[in-house]
This record gives sequence, structure tokens and C-alpha cells, in this order.
Amino acid sequence: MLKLDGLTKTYAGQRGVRSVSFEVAPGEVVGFIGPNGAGKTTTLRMIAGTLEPDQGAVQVLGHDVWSNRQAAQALMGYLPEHAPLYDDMTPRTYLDFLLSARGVTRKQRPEFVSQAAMRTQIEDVLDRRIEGLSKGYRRRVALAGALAHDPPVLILDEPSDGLDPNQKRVTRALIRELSPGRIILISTHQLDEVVHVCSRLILIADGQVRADQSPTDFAAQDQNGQIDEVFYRLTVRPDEAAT
Amino acid sequence: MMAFWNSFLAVYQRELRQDGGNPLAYVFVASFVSAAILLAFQVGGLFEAGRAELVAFFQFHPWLFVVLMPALSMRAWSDEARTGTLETLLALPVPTAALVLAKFMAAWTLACLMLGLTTPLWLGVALLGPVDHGATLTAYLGSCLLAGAYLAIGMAASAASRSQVLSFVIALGVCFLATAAGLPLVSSTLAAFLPLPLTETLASLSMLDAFSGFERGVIEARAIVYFLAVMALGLCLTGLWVDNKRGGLR
Repeated sequence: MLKLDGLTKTYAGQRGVRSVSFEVAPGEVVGFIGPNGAGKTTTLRMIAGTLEPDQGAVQVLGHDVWSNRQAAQALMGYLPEHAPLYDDMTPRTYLDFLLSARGVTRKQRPEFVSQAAMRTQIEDVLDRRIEGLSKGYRRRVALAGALAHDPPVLILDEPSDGLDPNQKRVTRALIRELSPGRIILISTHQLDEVVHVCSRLILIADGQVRADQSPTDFAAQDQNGQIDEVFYRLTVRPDEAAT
Repeated sequence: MMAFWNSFLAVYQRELRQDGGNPLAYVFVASFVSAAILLAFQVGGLFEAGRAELVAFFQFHPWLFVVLMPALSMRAWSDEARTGTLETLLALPVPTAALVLAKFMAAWTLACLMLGLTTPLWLGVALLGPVDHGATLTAYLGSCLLAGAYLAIGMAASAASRSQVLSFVIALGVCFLATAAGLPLVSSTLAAFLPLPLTETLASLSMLDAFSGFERGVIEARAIVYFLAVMALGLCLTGLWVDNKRGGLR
């Protein structure tokens, strides 16, 4: 179980997140949606252990992220926003480095690298410098880095951002393939992705959870079943609506 | 404990490979070797003393390191923060201490290799006359410790700022002050404003003072403790600043 309990983070002069609580069970693929600046990335960073909350707690399969950070992080694969990578490395050496830092033995690493490369379809660029890769490949290399150690919990910040329609299709199929038995939390702007991939969606706006239901139930709030209409109604601010 | 060393080794090897594939690292090494030898001959008058010794070579190391070590360490953390890869590192189940130590040790290894490339000068002088090899080896040890101390300061400055340039300037300033405090000119100037014991304490805390024994071929426990303490302080500050990044912009 991934359990968030009253997560709160405020930045100097900026909105953060306020008392965000929810639970995700193994086998669930949860789409974490919201407008820009709603607090999606902040929440994901607090789950991944790269940003400390002001208040609240995160538990990953029974391990508290802040009192037992390393045990919790060992169970997670995290794709950060913008998919940062080391440009001087090749995808192979990058994945090998991540696995090595996670304590995977030298003997096991090539198999893990091959598996991640096959899943994310980056085999043909494994030995090219990351610097020269297209945005789509870079995103997939970063995704391979998140799932290389075969973690039971995946936290993905905009996994299909920058991918072409075919690559998006492959990535969505991969997420569906990975979902049995895993906890997957995806932050996304793409509402069609939520419909195609997620079994549940959580909408966050102004740092607070506004909806937590299945995509079908969410869309049913509009008489025409338009998910983007419901999203608009729940997230638009009065000043934006007036214009 | 195994987790610590696994992650330490992974990051250490990555940093070394990154330096090995970076043409700037070679430019940096070549700059140090050529500047150190040029200063020893042109300013230090290495052969003019008429003695087979390398004091003229080692005496410029503190001043060379004041500039070169901040340059070597400036990108260690600030570049990770700028490119976003720090997020990837912080998401790994790795103790912050392992990350800090690995990056420092990789930079220190490069600095020591750079010093190693000047040993042909030692061999050349040894061909011209009897050299005190023990004293020379001691001076090399002192240079390594000195480089480590400056690097630790540079690492802390790099962790404190996202800008490489700002990191370099901060480290350069701190290293310069820590070195210049030992100059007689600075001590005598400070003595006019400060009480004598305070002036003497400041001078005794300078890098120059700690390095002077090694230059003469004397290993002083006080100096070793001093360099190790500066390194420990620099690395603790680095760790604090890296951990502080998990706290966001509070």
C-alpha cells in the first residue's frame, strides 16, 4: 500500500500542497491530474523522498519515507519531471550506474538493463551518447531508469510528455503490462491517458484533492461524458471563468 | 554498510568516468602541471639555488590550488542541481554521506593524479644531485592534503549554489582568505587593528602555516589534523546543503 497522510508543503510566496491524503493499493494505476502549479510534482517529490513535507507522512509498503527513507526508496522507481539524464553517458552506462547504486550485483546488471531496454524499446540506442538522443528517446531512457530494478512501486511524472502518438501508445501498453501487482502513480496533463491507462484518478487543484474516483465515474459528472468538461469545472478559478 | 559502499563506488566510478571523458579535465591537468613547473623555474628559480631540492616547486602549490581546486569542484553539485539530475540522485536509496564522500574522493583522486604527473620533475632534479627523497615525498603528501582541504571548501560552495560561476567565486574567496591569512604582510596589517593573540591565531589557522612544515619535509600531527578538520568541515557543510535541498525553498 502507498499511503499519504495529511501531506502539506508550502513554499515561500507560492502555493504548495495542503493536507493531501490518499491510499493506493497494489494493482491500481492512479492518474494524478490537475492544472499547472496544482501541486502534482510537489506531491510526487514528497512521495519519492526528494522533498521533505512540512507536515504529514508517506508510507511505501509499510516503510515511512522520512524516518526510513532508504528502505522506502529501494521499493520505488521514480521518473522525475523533465526526465533529467547525464548527457555524457550512454543509456547502457546510465542504467548500469543506477542499478549499481541500488546495490544490484555486477553479474545481474546486464540482464536488468536488457529487460528495461526491451520494455521501453531503447535497445537500438543503448550504446549512443544520451546527449544526441531525441526527446522521445530521452524520456524512454529515463523511464527505463525508473523501472530498471523492477520496483513494486512506480512514481511517474509525465511519462509520455514529449512522445509521439506511437511512442505514447507503446508507453501506455507498457504501464498496463506492468500494473498487475504494482502500485503505479502517474502525474499527467493528458486526460486521454487517464482514460486509457488508469483504473482511478485523483484530481488536485490549488494544492488540495478535489476528486478521487474512477475515470468513468469522473466523466459521468458531465451529461455528455466529457472528462475535460468535468476537469474544467473542478479546476477553473473564478477569475479565469470570468474571462 | 554494504549499501553505503555500493552506492559510494557507483557514484565514485561515475564521477571518474565523467572526468575521464571530459576534455576540460585534461586542459585542467595540463594547466596545473605547466603552471607549477613554469612558476618553479621562472619565479622560484629552481636551478638558481644550486641545490637539488624542490622547495621552489612546492611553495606555489597553495596559490595554484586557490584557483584550481574551486574550478575542479565547482560543477560537482551545482551542475546536478542545474540539470535536474540531483533529483535522480536524491531518489536513490543512498545515504547522503555516500554521495558527498564519493564526489569528493573522485575529485581528490584527480587532484592527486595531477600531482603525480609532476614527479618527472622530481626525477629530473634527482639526476642533477642528491635529493632528500623523504622530504620530497612528505611535501607531496602535504600537497595532497592541501588539495583535499581546498576541494572540500569547493564542494561546500558548489552544494550551496546552483550557479557554477557563483560556486567558483565563493570557493575562490574562502580559499584565498584561508591562505592569505598566513602571509606576514596580512598578519602585520591585521596586528594594527586586532589584538596580537587574535592575529597570531588567525595566522596559525591559515593553509600556508599548515603547509609550511610539509614544504620543509616535516610531518606535523597538528597540520594533518588541521587539513583533515577542514576536509571534515567542508564535507559536513556539503552534506547539510545537499540534505537541505530535500527541504525545498523553505
